[in-house]
Amino acid sequence: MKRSKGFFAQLIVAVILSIVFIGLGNWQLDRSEDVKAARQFVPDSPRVDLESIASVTSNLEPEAINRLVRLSGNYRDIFVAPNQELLTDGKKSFANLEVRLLELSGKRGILVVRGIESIENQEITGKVQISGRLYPRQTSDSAKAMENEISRIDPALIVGQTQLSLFDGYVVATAEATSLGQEIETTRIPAPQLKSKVPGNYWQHISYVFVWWLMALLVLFAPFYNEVAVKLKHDRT
Amino acid sequence: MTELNPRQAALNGAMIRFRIMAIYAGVMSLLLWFVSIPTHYLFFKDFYEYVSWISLVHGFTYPIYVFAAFHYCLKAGKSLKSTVLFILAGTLPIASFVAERRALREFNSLK
Repeated sequence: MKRSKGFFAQLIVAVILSIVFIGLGNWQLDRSEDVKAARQFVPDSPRVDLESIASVTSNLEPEAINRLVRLSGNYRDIFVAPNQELLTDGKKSFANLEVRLLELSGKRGILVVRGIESIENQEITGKVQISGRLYPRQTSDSAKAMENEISRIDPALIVGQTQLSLFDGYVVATAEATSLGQEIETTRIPAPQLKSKVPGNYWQHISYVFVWWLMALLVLFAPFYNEVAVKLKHDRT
Repeated sequence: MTELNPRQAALNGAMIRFRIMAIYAGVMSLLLWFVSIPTHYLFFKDFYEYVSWISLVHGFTYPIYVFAAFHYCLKAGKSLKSTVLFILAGTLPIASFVAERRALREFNSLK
């Protein structure tokens, strides 16, 4: 059967659209795998020095997020991060957190969440050794910031207030000690592994994979649609 | 019950399947757009865990609507453009109800 130029143009468009739909299906398949991976328990790797997995010149690498780290330096500025969401034993609560800027060697700094804000700020002088978990910077505000407050835990918010070069992200301290090894106590907050927030669940994404691939199939059929419709009509009459 | 003429009789099965799926897809779309998506992304987010099944069920059953709409359109001799619109109607709230009413009107007017 001889085909017109129009038919081949339609066929090319259909193939392109079909490839796009297959791509969208594959994207949903990747997302389903991401959801699956996010739900899996990942054992913690051994604690490492902060400098070995992060630097002030670059954004946090995905592999650095959630790592247990150790670092040491001197506390400089004190901030409060109000109305921060905490998850303790699966229960959600909100608290104002004490966040301090820790100066590391070489004029570098990082935000450290010490724990729940206390009425009287502890005076901590001298070098502090910190153990904690590294988190990515927060991207949405949890409250409107007043004086000495930060609306989210994000080094970008304080970059104008310090001469230090700041690390991306922040550390939630699980233990602090003076240079003499004396433990510094405060009301700590839990520092669980951050789970990826890929929306939806595994089977939901799988269903979208099916939908996109079905669309890809139907689009491929489109150039032949009129032909089949005419044939069906002819058969009926 | 009125007797079907030969053209209506030939289309009746596909028509019934399409109507059932159009109403079902319409209800699911309403739930998806006005319950599932808002609780997932906008407000009452704690409520989402109770309604997360909506997007799941909609995702798995929408292809059945697509098949039903495609089959009906092909049998009814609809244009490619109409077929695409009928298929897409399953994704928007109300649209599949409109498509169902339109299909029924056309079916009843078949001579």
